[in-house]
Order: sequence, then C-alpha cells, then structure tokens
Amino acid sequence: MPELGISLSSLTGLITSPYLMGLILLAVPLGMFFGAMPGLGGKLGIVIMIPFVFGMESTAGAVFLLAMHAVVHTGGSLTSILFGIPGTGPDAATIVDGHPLAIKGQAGRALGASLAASGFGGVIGALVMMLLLPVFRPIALNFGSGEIFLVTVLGILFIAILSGKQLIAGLIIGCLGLMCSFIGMDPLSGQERFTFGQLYLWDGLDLITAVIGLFALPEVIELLTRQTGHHARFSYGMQDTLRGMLEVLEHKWLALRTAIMGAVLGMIPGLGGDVAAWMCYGHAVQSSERPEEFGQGRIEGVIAPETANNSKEGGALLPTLFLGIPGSSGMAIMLGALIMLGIQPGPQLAFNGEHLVWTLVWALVLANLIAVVFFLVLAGPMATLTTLRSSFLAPPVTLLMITGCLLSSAYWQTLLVLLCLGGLGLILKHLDWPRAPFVIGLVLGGTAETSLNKAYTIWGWGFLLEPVALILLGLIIASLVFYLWRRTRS
Amino acid sequence: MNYSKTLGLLCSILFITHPLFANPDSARDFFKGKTITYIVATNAGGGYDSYARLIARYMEKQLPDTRIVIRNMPGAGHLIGTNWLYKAKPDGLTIGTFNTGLIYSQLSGRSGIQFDLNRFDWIGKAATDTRVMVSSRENIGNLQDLRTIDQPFLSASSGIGTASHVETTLLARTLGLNIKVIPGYGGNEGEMAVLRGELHGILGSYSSLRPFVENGNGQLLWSIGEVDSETTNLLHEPSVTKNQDARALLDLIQTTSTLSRLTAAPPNTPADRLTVLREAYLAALNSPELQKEARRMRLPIVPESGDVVAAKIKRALQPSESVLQLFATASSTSVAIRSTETALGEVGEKGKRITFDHGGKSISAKVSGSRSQVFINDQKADRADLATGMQCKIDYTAEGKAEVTTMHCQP
Repeated sequence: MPELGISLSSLTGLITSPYLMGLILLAVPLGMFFGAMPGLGGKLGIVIMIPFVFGMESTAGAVFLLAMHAVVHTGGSLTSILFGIPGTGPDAATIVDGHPLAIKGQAGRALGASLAASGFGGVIGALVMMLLLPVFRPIALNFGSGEIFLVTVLGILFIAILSGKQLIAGLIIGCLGLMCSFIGMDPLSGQERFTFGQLYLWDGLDLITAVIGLFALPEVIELLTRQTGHHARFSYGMQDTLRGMLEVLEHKWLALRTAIMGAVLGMIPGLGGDVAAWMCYGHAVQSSERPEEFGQGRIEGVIAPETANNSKEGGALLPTLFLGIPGSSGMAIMLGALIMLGIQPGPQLAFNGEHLVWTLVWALVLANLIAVVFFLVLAGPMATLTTLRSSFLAPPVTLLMITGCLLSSAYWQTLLVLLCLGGLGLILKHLDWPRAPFVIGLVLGGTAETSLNKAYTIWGWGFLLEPVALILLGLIIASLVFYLWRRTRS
Repeated sequence: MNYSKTLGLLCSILFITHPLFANPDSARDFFKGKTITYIVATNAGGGYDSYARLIARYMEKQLPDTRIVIRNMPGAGHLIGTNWLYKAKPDGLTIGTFNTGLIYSQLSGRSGIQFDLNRFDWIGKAATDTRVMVSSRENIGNLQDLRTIDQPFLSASSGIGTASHVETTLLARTLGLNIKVIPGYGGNEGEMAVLRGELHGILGSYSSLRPFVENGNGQLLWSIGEVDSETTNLLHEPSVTKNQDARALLDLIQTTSTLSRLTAAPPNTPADRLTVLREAYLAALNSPELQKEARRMRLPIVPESGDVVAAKIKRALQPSESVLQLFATASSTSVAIRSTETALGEVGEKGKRITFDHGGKSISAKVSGSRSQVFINDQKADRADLATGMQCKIDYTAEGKAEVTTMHCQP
C-alpha cells in the first residue's frame, strides 16, 4: 500500500510542521472573513493574498491559499443566517431556511448546524476526492454539455418541489427566475435580450444582488418599520449551537448524500459553484417528510447547502490539479496562483507530485476542522447581534446589504436592480409565495440554455441516448414520479 | 495673409509640434503625491488583472511617490471598462487595459461601442500571444485534411464576437476549411470539451494552450507567427499565401496577436504626461525583477511602446476591402463552410440556384443576391452572369439549405 504510506507521511509532515500549521491557522480566519463579508468572496481573497504568498515555498503557498479558500463558505453562512445577506453566491441557498430560523430566535441552532455541516462537508469532500482520484477522469470526461443540461433540468424540477403546496405560485415565480436568467447576450446569436440598451445588463443579473433584494431587503424594511422590539425573540446560548451541531448527526444520511453530491457536482467544470448548493437544497426538500415546512426554518434546509458548499471544493480540486482545468471560477484563480507558485497542474502530478497532492488533501481536512473551532468561538457573540433592538440593527444591516451588492457589482444600476427585486421580494413575502424558485431559475437558466444549445448543435437530440444521459433521464423521471406520487398521497 | 489665417497657422504649428515642447521633468513632478487609477475591464483574478497588478507594482517603482490602484470594471465583454476609460478625464491619472479583440468588435460595428480605438493615447503593450490551432483528432494533421473531411471539425469559442470566434470563422471561410465554431465555452471549458471528445479543437493563444498540448491532450495544427514548436506557420504556407483574402486576414490576425495586453490612456492626455507614463511602463516591463516574476507566473512579456502600438492599431483598423466584407458577413454566424473546385452543372433562372458536384454528390445551392459574392475572372459579377460549364471554386454553407458564400469562376 504505497498510497497509504504517502498519505500518512504527508499528514504527519503537515501536522508536525509548525510553519505549515501556523499558515493554516492564519488562513482559516482570513478565509472566513472573506466569506462572511458579502460580495468579497474567496476569489477576491486569493487575488488579494497572491502578493503575500509570492516567494513562499510552493507547498507552503499552496497550503495557505487552499486552506483559506476551503473555509470561505463556512464564514459565508454567518451573514446568510443572521441577516439574510449571502456572503457569497453559493451561500444564498442557506438563507431560505437559515434566516427564518434566526428570526424565530434559533440563530444559535442554525449556526451550529451550519458549522457542523460545513466541517463535515469539507472533510467528506476531501475524502471523496481521495477515493475518486483513480476514477475521476472517466467521470469528468463523461459529463459533456448534454449531461450538464440534464443535471440543470433535474435542478429546475426542484422548482416544483420547493413550491410546496403553492405549486402554481412556485411555477410562476420559477419561470420568472428563468426569464430573468435570459437577460443579457444570447449565447448562440450574440443578440441582446431584455437589456433595454444597457451595457450593464449584458452579463445578466448579479446573483448576490438578486438574493439580497429578494430575501434581505424585505426583512430590513420589516426591521425599519418595526420601531420597537427585538429582531429575534430570545437570546442565544452555547447549548443552542451544540444542539444545532448534533442535529447534523441526526440527519447524517442527508449530510452524507449532499456531501457526496456536492463533491461530484464540484468536479464537473462548467456547472458553476452556485448550482451544487441549490441542487442539494432541492434534494433536502425532496427527501424530507415535511417538504411544506421548508422556507419557514427547517434545519435540513441549512444542513444540505452548507455541506455541499464545502464538499464541492474537494471535488473542484480534482480537475484543477490533474487536468489543469478548474472546476469552478474560484478554482480558476487558484490554478493561476498554483502555477505562479511553481506547481504545474496536469496528469503528471498524479505520478510525480503525490506528496504535494496528499498534503493539500490533508490541508483541506484540517482547515475545515479548525474552521469549526473558530466558528464556535465566533458564533456566540455574532448570534447575540440578532437580539439587538431593531432600530440599532437596521442601519448596519442596510449598510452591509448595500456594500455587499456594490462589492459584487460596482455600478449604480446594481442599486436599481436591488430595489426592483426588493419590491418583488416584498410582494412575494406579503402574498406568502415562495421565493426560492426564483433563485433556482436564475441560477440554472443560463447554464441550461447554453448547454442545451451546445449539445443540440453537436449531436442533435441524439445526446439524450448517451449512457450517462440515460441515467440522468431516469433520475429526472424518477424524481417526477416520486413527487407526483407524494403529492397525490398527501 | 490676414490675421485669422496667421493665427490659424500658428495654432497648427503649435498643435503639431507640441510633443516636442513637452517637458517630462515637470510632468514627472505632476505625478508626485498623486494616485493613478488603472482600469481593468474584467474581473479580478484573470490574465488582464494579473498583468495590470504586476505592471502597476513595478510602475510605482518608476514613479516615486505615486500610487497606482487597480480598479476592476468588468462587464459586456470589456465594453463597460473601455467605454468608461475613453470618457475618463484625460489628465494622465487614469489608464486602463482591455481585450485586443475589441479591434474586431470595432471593425464589425458591434453595438455598445462608444469609443474609437484610433483615438486612444496608447501607453504600450506587454505581450505577444501567437495564435495556434490545437486538434485532438488523430486523423487531422494538416490544413488539407480540414478541407477534405466530411464531418465538420468542431472548434470551441467562448462566445459570438470574441477574438477566437471571429478568427476561426473567418479563417475557415477564407481558406475553405470544414470547421464549425461552437460558442459557449468560457474559460477553460473549451479545453475540457476537447479533452472529452465533445469538440475536436480550439484556436487560441500559444501561451494558454501550450500546457494542454504539452500534457499530450492534442497537437498543434498550425500557428500564425513563430512558436518554439514544430508546426505549420500559416504566414509562410504557400497554399495559403497565394490567396489574397487569406493573406490580408492573416496579416490582421498577426498584427492583433502582437498587440496583447494593451494599456491606454483616454484621448487628449497631455503629451508630456503621456511620455512619462510610456517611459515608466516600458521601464517597468524591461526590469529584470518584473520579468523574473512574470516567468514564474507564466505571463509572456514582449513589451512595446505606445507610439508603436498606435501605428499597429491604425494599420489593423484599416484592413483591405475583402477583409471588411468578411467581417460584415461573419458577425454572428457559426455555420460550417464547405469548399470545392468544380464545373457548374445546371444554372437556374437569373443564376438564383446552381447545381454542382462535390465529392461525387450533386449539390443544389442558392445564390443569394445580397449575401453570396460572385467573381468571374477575379472581377465582381452578378449571379445572372453564371453559366453552365464554368469552372468555379465554390464556398457554400453545408448545413440545411445550401447557400453559396463566395464563388470564383472562369468562363
């Protein structure tokens, strides 16, 4: 078992090196900060840190950057849960149930579940990466444009599932989200669509702005209009956090399934980082006994996307390291940084860089575990913020919201989009219509359209007859039948 | 000579010779204690951003007591940032970098452009990115293979209007290659698609595709310019250079490829400040420390000064009439073009439809009055002048209903 030997020696090499462990300890809070600050995110974190790692020995630099990048989403869930403002795009899915939990006064519980799920997801993601090392090439190579399209169709189906009892309302909102995803340049003809002559709209709607508008703005308006009282009903205790953490154990199979789903989805270049979290959220609703309670504060709605967010980083590392092709936009910048550090990603790394690869895998595991400890210390004081008087809380939350939007897309038009979608969010909240289907449509519409265009141009409808496509079609039909069966039964 | 004429002459002389009076020393003082904003017309983290951040750090060393801050202005395929730079205050405190492919956008009259590249004050360029075509199909090793294959060779592009899309479409059309460009492969997705066999190849810069080839994932089919690897250089390929349209197009592509990672200031930047910026830019790029760092980051450095860039941009924006026509017809299509040399069979009423033989198959193709270009004895002609038996080189769209794009005939 030479593999096991290399793996263990890499682990001992890492934990017995005060220098490398020190770097991980420094990287973890930095990564969590970049994640927690809306609009900053992991990509910008790497860009900002590149000059600092320049000149470092290659393994040390790579360990530092990877450890930082690995825990971005652990930090990102903080603002998502507490204020309904996503730190990064993939954290947006956590808002749907995480923020209602905070409003109910269960911020500690939601944060506990989020941090345990993030840690668990990160570790499982790294383990899946290790296990898939020998077989990932055929998996990645079997996921063409046709298969990516079918994965997005599976995701779009979740619109119906996420709508709960309000199927028609959910479908209307989902279709509105899909329509909004078509704003911008037509990928096939290069023509402008719904851009109203504005260059700003050529790249479509910004996801972070959309989520802040739909979910956070209505909450802030409620905070501002409620002159007295507290944001949350009761205060926070450490036992709430621990309770939340233990709930991940109660839902261990869900966490395991979403962790594996996240890692595999992360491995597929072109699917986009936001997709994994939403797909796994949809899966949590689909597999729940009480799907109608999602959106009002179900703990599974926090566990599933948080697990997926961290596990997908392990998956995304595979094509980045061994094909030199990044699995996500964050990994694309990581790839550039690795090259700068003198690491040449490619298939040869599996033969001559095993020690480095295992060191990176263990760095991923350790960073995720250390982040749990950091988060545990931070969660307490942060959760008490929600118990502040509304009049104290509203101004900084508004500032955070606007800063998040502008950091994500620094144009004045962003504020206009924020207001428009905020108005939509208010109306939907007032009508008690589900808001998550809009984001699913927005996240998946563009990828679905481009991949269908590509697949159809290359193979015609024949792409549906490929082996992996047939499996995915089977999954789509099974999901649909399962959904209809459950709907008629209830 | 009356008073107004004298004044006009004086003004003209002053205008023409004002760079000679420019005083870089006082201009150098102008930058002291000031902050220069370096616009990057795309997101943080990409190639443009890496170059800008690297150059900015070393330019600061050339301009003591001056700060250079990077401002990312992404969106609309570099148009937002470039439009903004064009309209920025021309005081030397705003400079910017954007995609060289905007030359093609300006040539094809793309909507959304609010600038004239000819009017920017160019500071310089940092690199040369020779174009190469990579193929993963073993049965395609040269140009001739691409002319004779039955199924189109599928090539990746990130989107309509991007440099790789325009260049591949136009090369295929001009050289009669059976290539179909599939848009929608951003970043490294194109390489991934080639790797899994979904697509057959990709046209891109040598520096970005080199690792892909070195990892054994494909082979170079051709290059447009010199590369340190054995492959056909289209600039010296006899079967290509005898085609006048192809020569003009290759000249444009090569000029564009030598203008990689441009940096410009808004039009009408004071000449003395422009001189200081150009000197600092070139000195930064020529410094051994920057070059060492760039080698490590795998960023090729081939610097040139702003005056050279301005001349090249001017040349690129004045292509031959044939190339301009190509741009007019290739703005949004991604249809595979087939090419054959044969005798015309039946010619329909007023030449609106022709039949001819291609590889043993009888093809019936439409000759459009507006889109198809007909040449007889190298002279532009009307489709009604076509006649049965003429020996013609015919380029036509192979999919759906066949339509002639260009035909050169001899009676």
